[in-house]
Amino acid sequence: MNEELMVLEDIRTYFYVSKSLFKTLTVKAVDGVSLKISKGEIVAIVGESGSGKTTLGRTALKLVNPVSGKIIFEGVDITNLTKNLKWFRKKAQMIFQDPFTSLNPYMTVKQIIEEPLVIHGFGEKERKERIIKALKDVRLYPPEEFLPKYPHMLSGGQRQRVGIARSLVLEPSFIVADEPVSMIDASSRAEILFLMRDIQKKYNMGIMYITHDIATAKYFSDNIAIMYAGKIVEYGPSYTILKSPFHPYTVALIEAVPDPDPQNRFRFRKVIPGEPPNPINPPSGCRFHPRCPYSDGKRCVKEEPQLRDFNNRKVACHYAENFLKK
Amino acid sequence: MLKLEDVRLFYRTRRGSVRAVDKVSFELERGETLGLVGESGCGKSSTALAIMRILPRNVDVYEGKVLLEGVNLLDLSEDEFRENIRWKRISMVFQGAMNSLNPVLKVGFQVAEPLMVHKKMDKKEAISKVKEMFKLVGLPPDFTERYPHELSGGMKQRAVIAMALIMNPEIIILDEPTSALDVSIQAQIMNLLKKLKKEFNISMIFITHDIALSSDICDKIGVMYAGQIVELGTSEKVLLTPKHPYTQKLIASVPLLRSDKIPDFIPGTPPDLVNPPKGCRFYPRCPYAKKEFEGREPPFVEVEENHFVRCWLYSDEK
Amino acid sequence: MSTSIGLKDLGKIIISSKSGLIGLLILLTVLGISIFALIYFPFNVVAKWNEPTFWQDNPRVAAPQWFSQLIGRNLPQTIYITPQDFSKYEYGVTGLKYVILESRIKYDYDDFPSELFAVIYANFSGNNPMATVKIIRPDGLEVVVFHNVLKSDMNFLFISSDISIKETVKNSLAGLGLVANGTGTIYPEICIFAVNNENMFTYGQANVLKGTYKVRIELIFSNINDTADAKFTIYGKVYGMAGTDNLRRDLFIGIVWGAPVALAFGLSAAVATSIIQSLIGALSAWYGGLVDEIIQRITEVYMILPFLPFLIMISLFYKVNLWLLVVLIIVLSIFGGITKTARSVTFQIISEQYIESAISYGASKLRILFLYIMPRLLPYMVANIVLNVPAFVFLEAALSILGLGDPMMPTWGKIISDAYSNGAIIHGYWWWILIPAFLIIVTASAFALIGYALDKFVNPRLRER
Repeated sequence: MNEELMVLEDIRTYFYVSKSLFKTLTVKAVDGVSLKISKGEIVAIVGESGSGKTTLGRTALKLVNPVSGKIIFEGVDITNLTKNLKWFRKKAQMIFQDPFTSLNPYMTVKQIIEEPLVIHGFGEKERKERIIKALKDVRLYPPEEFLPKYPHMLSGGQRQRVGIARSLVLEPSFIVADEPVSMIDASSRAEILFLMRDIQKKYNMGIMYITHDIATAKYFSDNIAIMYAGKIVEYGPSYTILKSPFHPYTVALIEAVPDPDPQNRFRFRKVIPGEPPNPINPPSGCRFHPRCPYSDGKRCVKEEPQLRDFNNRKVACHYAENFLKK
Repeated sequence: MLKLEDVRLFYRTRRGSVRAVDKVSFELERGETLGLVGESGCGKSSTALAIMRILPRNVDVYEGKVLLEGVNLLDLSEDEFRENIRWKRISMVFQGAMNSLNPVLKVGFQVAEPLMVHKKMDKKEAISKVKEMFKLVGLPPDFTERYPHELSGGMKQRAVIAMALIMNPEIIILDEPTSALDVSIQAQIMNLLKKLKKEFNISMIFITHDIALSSDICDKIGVMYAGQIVELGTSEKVLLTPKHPYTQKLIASVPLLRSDKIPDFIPGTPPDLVNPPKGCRFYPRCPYAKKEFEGREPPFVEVEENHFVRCWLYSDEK
Repeated sequence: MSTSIGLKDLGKIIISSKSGLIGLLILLTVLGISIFALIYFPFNVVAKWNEPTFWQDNPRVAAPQWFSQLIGRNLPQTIYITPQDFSKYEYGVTGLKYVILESRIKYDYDDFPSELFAVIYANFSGNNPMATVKIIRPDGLEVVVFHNVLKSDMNFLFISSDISIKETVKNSLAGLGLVANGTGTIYPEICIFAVNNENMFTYGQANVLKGTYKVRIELIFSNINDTADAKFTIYGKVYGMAGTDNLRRDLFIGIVWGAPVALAFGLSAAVATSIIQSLIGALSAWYGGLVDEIIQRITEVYMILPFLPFLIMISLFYKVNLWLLVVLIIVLSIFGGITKTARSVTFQIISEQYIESAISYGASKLRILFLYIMPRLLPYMVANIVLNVPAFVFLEAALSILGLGDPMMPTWGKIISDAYSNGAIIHGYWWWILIPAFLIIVTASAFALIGYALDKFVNPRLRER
């Protein structure tokens, strides 16, 4: 049994936006999410804009504080810790989406990768060793050539690798990867993802892979959580979920993504109407009910479905049983 | 109907001349949708700008033929083009267009503007035409009174498409119309485009970096790399039997939901358009590269009917 | 493509635009003058500036020498007859010692001298000698300027201002048949050098008598060993590159000295203001919350308070020297407009992902402020400095004119202030005001031109990606 690395219990992360002197709106970005990530496991968090996936990642790393719920890392409840977090910042790292802005443009590659080491008090010799090792892990060869370069001298893919190298240099046990390849050319994405997978296996890390691209989740994660309007609507092994999705939203998401098939242009895709909901005022009951083709108009509108075990996965839907007929 | 012959568009920069579009040729029939597929920096957006004659100040070279029913658009004066062609016969939905809506004007007014300027319609009549168009693109007609910030991303994109269609052009160019949208909204917009294509028989040029998405609407696909078209043919031929190594790899890179094939990738990066490799531009990254191909410009060969490839592997003269 | 602009790019922006280039050239010139000033002057300018005797040999309120060429009139330069220039004839006659000092000068100028001055150094052990000073004109007329017993061994003859000497001259001329109209005073520097006609006593109507003049000083001593030397100065109306002021100070020296002072003052005030305000603005945005609120409110109060009246108040109560002034200005400018703009820019910066990533690997807030945020603000700081230097240069000048500046230091503002309070406008001493004013404007323009070139950058017209 792999030990649990990161446990999120009923996390709610809200943002408060003051519209005027008297009115403050609450953006319920993450509204009741529980999740466990073990050592050596990759969990993909898939969702569209407003789903709360990005906020979930930031909450897990305590870059943003939840209003309620627990964050337990390697057995330690860190929810309320604000001061003694340095050890946590050493073991939990983040890989960012935008290779253009996630690197300090005024620093060389060496300085960028060295920063975490300097902050955590590593000696010069060990720093040099770790930097070279990290560059080799991300396959930037020869490492010495890259050290004096500035970010603007590198391509997008190379920059992203530097970002990954930086996250590895402290030898973390847990990484949150926030859309790490969405800004990379499609023909280079698999390269970066496989690289990350190799590194993950080598160091037995737990990864939270946040993405809107459900297709990459299939090849890059062990388990997948589909988020909608701040909640998880389906969770389970990636292969199982994507081969036979149960939640109507998951179904719609998969249906919306085309494979390169020339016949596609002759048929209209089955789409769900409407738009993702406003996190300030999510729909009552099941948040998906306004767009769901299977909404019963009664229970779905009043009662919020709980994430329950069902058919080798967890689903949050009142009528999941109805879809067993597939 | 629209035919491009050896169109070139170079930009002048401090580092040198960027060969954004380097001898691009293709044909577009009435009612046909052509996809221009390629990754960042391949020149697909610049090709669209070349057709629309929306050129920046630092244009270095702009030549070739853009024939609209036989008339070379490059020969027309700027005024002639503006009055007769732009937006009337060819219109465009720009990348990120939904973000370029004027935030202080009502959406209906903005969409109506071409009608008021070109057709000299009065405001009332123009707005009513806009309402009809809104119905067509799936927006409630009373949205003409709304401001852009009141609309979601998908709605804005519909408004922008309405704006491009308002003058009933024969050709509409769409540059990455869905890349900023959520995937479920993207599916809605693609359905809308399919409907418009079916009902109005409009010709489209669909520019995207996502080759899977191009299969969703394109009849013909042109794959671009480093400013050139490297493969051109019907969707069936290009997607099912791709000939150019780049196309093959590009298709292989798509992570498939409906099959279990592991996605592929192309190592390296696209070339610098100021100094592209001499000869075949894909040579440095090509898995089938042979020494004898180095430095020599491959010919644009018709491997089968209506299927062209720019590659030495298919040329008799090696 | 990185959105940040480094200092190198700033340099390129400046050089690549026409205004920036011109501004830079002007600035380098002023800088060159400053360096020249600091190296060239072998004496302590500030000390000497306030020592009137140092400038004794210069004419008062003389225009710059090139003014002659400008108006096409040959204005007189100062003629110095030193003791060595006098030919000395000494002879004794029964119990008396005669000493005759004679010198010839050529006077070909188109205008009259401004002043006449003589010093007789008498070295006597016996009775006080008797001295007669005569000027022999080209037309042969001999004018007696002084005829009296010498009181001491160093005798100053202020020919142009001493009433008794002027009487002597008047009477001497009267004796030659040349009588002034009216009973007012005469001007020896004019009538002695004027053509012998009815206008010779009236400046503006008299004509200059050009030719060779002889100055002859006759002394009678009682002791054979007694002797004397003399110095005679015919002050001109032009001097040097920038003229002189009412204390005979060479304005060129003052103005050249003013260059480094202006630059140093302007730059130090601008740099300190810019850095402090930017740091506070960044701090305010970065730490946010209550800190932000407090700093912003303080900034607003600061911005409302009237700057100049405060300075005036302080200067009235305390003696202010230039560097104390700089410190005062900086203290009054700790919070200001730059705080607000630095804050806005910082908000943009901290929304960038590399700041968030720094937090994620454990960087402290302070570290991020100095290593990540401040370097991004550097280009804005430089642009602000460049745009503010002219303001501070003008401020110093304004304060001097108001009489609040450093009373000792020769700054451009001080020079203008002196000019103004000494009636330069009324009397037409244009060089005293215009030359330093021109330099202030040119220096300010240099910075403004550079700032204009940078303005395109400072305006957030830059689209992010």
